[in-house]
Amino acid sequence: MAADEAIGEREMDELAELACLYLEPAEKKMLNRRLNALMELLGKIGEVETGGVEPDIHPGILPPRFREDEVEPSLSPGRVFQNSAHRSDSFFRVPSIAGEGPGGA
Amino acid sequence: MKLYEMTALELSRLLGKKEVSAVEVTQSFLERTGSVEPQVQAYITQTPEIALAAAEMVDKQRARGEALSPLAGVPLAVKDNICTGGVRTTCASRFMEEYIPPTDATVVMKARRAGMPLLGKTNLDEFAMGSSTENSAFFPTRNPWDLQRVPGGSSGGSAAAVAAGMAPLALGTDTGGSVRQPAAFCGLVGLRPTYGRVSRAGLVPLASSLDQAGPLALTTADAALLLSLIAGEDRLDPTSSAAPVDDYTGALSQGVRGLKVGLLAEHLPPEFDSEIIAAVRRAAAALEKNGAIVEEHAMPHISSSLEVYYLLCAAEASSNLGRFDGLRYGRSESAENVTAMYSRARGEGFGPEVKRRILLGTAVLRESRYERYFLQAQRVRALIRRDFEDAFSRFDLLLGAVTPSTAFKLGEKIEDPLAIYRGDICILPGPLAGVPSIALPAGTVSGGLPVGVQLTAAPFNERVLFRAAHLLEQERGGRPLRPQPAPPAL
Amino acid sequence: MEYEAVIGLEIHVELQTDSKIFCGCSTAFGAEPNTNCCPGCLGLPGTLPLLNRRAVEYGVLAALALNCQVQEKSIFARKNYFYPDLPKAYQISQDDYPLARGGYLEIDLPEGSRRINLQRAHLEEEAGKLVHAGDSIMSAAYSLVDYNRAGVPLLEIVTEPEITSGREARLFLEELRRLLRYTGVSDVKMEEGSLRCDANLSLRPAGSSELGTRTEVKNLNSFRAVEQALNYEAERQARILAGGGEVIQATCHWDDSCKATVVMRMKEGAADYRYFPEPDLPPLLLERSYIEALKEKLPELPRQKRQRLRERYGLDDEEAAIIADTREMADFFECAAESYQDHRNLANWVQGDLIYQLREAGKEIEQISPALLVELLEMLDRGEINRPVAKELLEEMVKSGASPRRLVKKRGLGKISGTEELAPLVEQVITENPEAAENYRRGKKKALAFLVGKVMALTRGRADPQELNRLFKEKL
Repeated sequence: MAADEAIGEREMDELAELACLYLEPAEKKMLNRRLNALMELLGKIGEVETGGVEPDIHPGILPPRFREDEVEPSLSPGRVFQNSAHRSDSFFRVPSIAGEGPGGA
Repeated sequence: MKLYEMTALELSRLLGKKEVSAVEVTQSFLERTGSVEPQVQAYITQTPEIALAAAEMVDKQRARGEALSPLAGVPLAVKDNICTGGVRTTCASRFMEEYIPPTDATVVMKARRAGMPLLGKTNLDEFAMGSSTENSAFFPTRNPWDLQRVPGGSSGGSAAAVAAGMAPLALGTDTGGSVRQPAAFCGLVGLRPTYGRVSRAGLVPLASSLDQAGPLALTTADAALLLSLIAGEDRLDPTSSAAPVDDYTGALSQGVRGLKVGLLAEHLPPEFDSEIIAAVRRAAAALEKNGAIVEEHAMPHISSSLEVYYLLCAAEASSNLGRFDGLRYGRSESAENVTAMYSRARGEGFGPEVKRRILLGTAVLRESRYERYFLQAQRVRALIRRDFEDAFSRFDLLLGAVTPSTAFKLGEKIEDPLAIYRGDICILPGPLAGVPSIALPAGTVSGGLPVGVQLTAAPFNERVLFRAAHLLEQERGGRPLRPQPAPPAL
Repeated sequence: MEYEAVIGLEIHVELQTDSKIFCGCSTAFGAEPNTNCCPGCLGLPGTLPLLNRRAVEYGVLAALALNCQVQEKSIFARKNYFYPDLPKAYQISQDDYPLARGGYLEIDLPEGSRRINLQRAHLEEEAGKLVHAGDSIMSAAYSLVDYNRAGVPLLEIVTEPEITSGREARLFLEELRRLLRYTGVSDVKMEEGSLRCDANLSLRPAGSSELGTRTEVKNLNSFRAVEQALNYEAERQARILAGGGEVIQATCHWDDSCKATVVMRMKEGAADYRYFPEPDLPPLLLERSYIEALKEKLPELPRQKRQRLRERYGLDDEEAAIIADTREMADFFECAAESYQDHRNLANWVQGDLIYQLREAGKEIEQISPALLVELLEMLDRGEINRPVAKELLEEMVKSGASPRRLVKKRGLGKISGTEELAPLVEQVITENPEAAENYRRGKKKALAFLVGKVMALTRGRADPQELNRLFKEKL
């Protein structure tokens, strides 16, 4: 593995942010080490000659399957909020999202 | 013989002849569970009331003379990453400790409709990430053959439950061997169906392009019964196949005469246990003796399966697990802002293996690595699929090992995840190509532990797997392989 | 230095299906929060996307109307990011393999028509809706999430960066809305969010081909806002460049009350969405014959319609544009034109009084029968009613849908031309206005108009003015 492919401290922070994972500093160090060991192992994939090969998304091509445009029943409010600790009347409630994420389509 | 010692087929016959009731059968497994579960710890959640209610219903229906499924009244254990409506589904994760799905997975719904009493939800490696069930956030499950050893994973709870007589049948999921490897470690039949043969709807996804649910059973006939029940097209799964479901039970007795079998050279390297290699060769000889034509075969790209599998699985998993943010369900944290709320819930709710794979998947999907890692892995995946296509243009079946060794001891490999990963080399190629494979017991080795062998067939050719697996089972005596003698603790 | 703006638009159109793109939940607007939600809308684990056939059909129809090359193979992809309105932490969209590539839309400018080229059009799913406590997202202590909109099908249309002004952008969007309404795939209401637009804008020295640093302009909630915001942003960038400064790549928010773009602070590092092909969905394979069949189903589109209206009915550009604004209006006109030969007069009534009365009554053109308008115009042409009465009748006709002929009968609104009816009125007016009568006798011609007007007032305009002239002349 080329040195530039190793995941450094700074990229670890970026990855944790992208993956929305809070990591304790010691945990982060340990994971960083293991991740780099894995990356080194997995980097061998680059040695396989794949010129002109179409990537496989699935095992083989599956025929597309459609659903007809028909309205089906939704969940009752009881079921919608059954597993949530963040219900506020008929909404889910989240704390401040100021300055967060890319947001929206 | 006690009821809990019987196979599903034997129970099915007794139930059909009304020699036993479904309640009696269920109670037998519940009692057995009461005595061995404290040592084995196969279940995360037990559901005796649900099981008994279903059994009572089946008995009533039978009394009324209604037409019933052959599996009506035969109890079932379900891996805890398969959703059960109204019964908590934890994925062996702290994050999902209290999660109650609103609906059944399609496979569970089919089992319940057929009248299979649900005994409980079985332990696994957290989110099915692992091959020893030691990655469960709650507790490790032990191998009924030797309590110091792991049952394999990630469907270790399901395998241990069946091997210990706590369930006659169980459902597992197999993304990269998670049904077949524990089957081999616990002396069971474990089937991974063709991708698309069994609905994925309601399976908590690990890697969507690889996940399949499959049976863990004592015999090939039991596995055939359960597969017949759960296979088929499902409108809730866009990747499920519309191909008609074959008669698997009918295939069992058809023999192997004339079948061409490729003996996988890659599965017989010197670093494998010699007794495992010997078991595979014995199986080859048995097939040959019964009229199959066996030839050694090499597949050039399957040596890259490990890299391909871990890259693709981690990438898909990193995305599949994004939904676990603690807002609509799952571990709840309060915080001053959304990011803190999400990342705390995830940071505290996920175990180290889950975090490692999420971070790995996140890393390889980044623009800077996408081409070299993810896309390259998808290309090699295509090459592996071609290897299988080539193989199946020559052979009906491929024969090989399941694992390089028998079940290892608890804690033995947990510090060396790469060693565990390497152990998966025989079970990873099949899922990448979407082909069906069956692991079946091939006797025990000198340490008294079971070994398995593996058969692989072309997509949707599960019938030929059952033909050959059943024949090998007959050669071995036709009886389930049971821990012998039963470990003293049991 | 003179600068010119380089603008590209990203448009999101909600497709008007009954159910969502990947599940059977209703897309109906205005339901109670979180009632149009199934396990999939909530991102519960184990749910899988089930592609809505009509969403694909509508996407293809729209793409065909935009002259795009619809792809026989397109691939859904996951766009990964965490945000509370995104229940799965990824949006199912399309990345490297969109539903359609290329395409264009022609817009009419005073200086002639212009072709705006498109990059692509692709399908994706809508996110949920956030309601912020307090005035804005920045100051809100908390926000409320409603997943009813999550999963409504969207078509994203991306133009090439070749629009040069706010006005062009607005005309493009208006023509796009017209076109999409014609195809019937969306109700395209900017106010309700079923048509949304973000823009990228950069400046370059006039005539140059290099591209400057661009900003992204968001929160464009009306056609007017699009025009104003882009003009404002172009001026803002020009001021920076003129002052020797540098434009910083950023996202700007259009503040419609202050009429200004506000630069939002960007997070460090560009967004990294980690797109990859959606493993839960097979590639979307469309057969050529399917695409061709949908092409056949396309209605005549606005541009062709306008041209035909001009050529066949002799309308001018403005008339054609107004009448072809909606398919329904054009259908109304053409239906009426079949039985009414004075097409210019018909067009005049439709684009003027009829549209005005529809707006007043809050009615749609489909609710009016073309035959009734024809009946009205024929009565007017034959002199059975006069113009003011015709307008009065039109109002009544639009409101109640009643036949003008019946209305005339019922209310006695026909023209009064009989001597027996008019003579007493003439007498009365002469008696009441002796001065005017005297003036006329003395040769003041204007006085006659005054007297006729008095009778007209008494009859609420129904008296025949020619007959009145004759009677007054006789009497005086």
